[in-house]
Amino acid sequence: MKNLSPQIKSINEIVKEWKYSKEAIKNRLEGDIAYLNLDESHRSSNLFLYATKSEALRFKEYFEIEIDYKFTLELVAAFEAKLIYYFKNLIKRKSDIHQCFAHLISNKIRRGISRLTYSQILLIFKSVIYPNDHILYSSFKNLIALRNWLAHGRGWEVDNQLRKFDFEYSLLTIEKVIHILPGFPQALR
Amino acid sequence: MKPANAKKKKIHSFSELLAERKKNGTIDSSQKEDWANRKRDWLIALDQLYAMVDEIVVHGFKQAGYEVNAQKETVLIFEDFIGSYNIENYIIRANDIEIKLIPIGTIILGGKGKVNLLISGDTIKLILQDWGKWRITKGFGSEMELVPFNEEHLIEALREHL
Repeated sequence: MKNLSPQIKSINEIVKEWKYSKEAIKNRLEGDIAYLNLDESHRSSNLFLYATKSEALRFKEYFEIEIDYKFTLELVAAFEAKLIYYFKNLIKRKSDIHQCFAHLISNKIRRGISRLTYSQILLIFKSVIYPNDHILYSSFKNLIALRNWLAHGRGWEVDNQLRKFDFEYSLLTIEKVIHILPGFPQALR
Repeated sequence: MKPANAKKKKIHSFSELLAERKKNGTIDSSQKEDWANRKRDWLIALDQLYAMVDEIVVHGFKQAGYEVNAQKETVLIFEDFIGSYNIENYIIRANDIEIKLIPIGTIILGGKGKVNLLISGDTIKLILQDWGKWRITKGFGSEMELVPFNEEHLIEALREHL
């Protein structure tokens, strides 16, 4: 695709990286937890040296959530780049989605002078997605809230509905959004 | 399709806004769903899940002679369209084993609700695929499949942790 950065990762690449990381970390943590009861001379490289089993399990639980957050951020950031490309280059001029794009987004952004951001994309989706599927719109809006929270260093407290977003649910939300975007090419996934 | 906030005539007061809303027949599509019923059905389904867990897990531990402590704790959660409401986490301790059931919510894609079952630092996702149909997720990513929530599949899911 013309002018598309080859460095944007595909969904498949990100899913693979998430899976490998998750499995590798899970195996390492489970291995260390299994050897918790050995005497100290045998467990100097154990991540949980001097930890109790319940402390180790809590850490594992926490770490799995963190892995999901890191890959969710990667996934949503890559999707932002793809959406920007889609809106700038691929939407058909006579389509409903273009009509919303033209009405809601300033000339400066449409002409590429300023950058299209997720908050403007949400405005378009409020017209395109929300009337037909409010749960999908709500999920996507919350996914963006999670992305903003992660990207800005978790600098504020978020409500607990963002707990819904493990990596798989983030992926499902993006897949469902792609499904309803007219003419979103397979090559851009 | 008319954009949600396309340019309109200037409005100076809240009552003018409401009058215009009435004139345009603007109805938020989210109002078409009966969210109060959705919440009620979700809480009923959660009770049914906990009853099945009691029957299979708590009863099973007791029969095997474990010392069981099963407690529900009320927590406040927030969901779009429904708002804040109280819901119960369920924590089961049997000797050195701890199982936590954490309801995630009903406003989810692809189902009517989700509960995370936490055991040994691992998360098993329980999906309410449709009312009365609890499912256990197996595997992850593209290989994930949903199997009915019953004793056979629950044992299979818990096996590596017990």
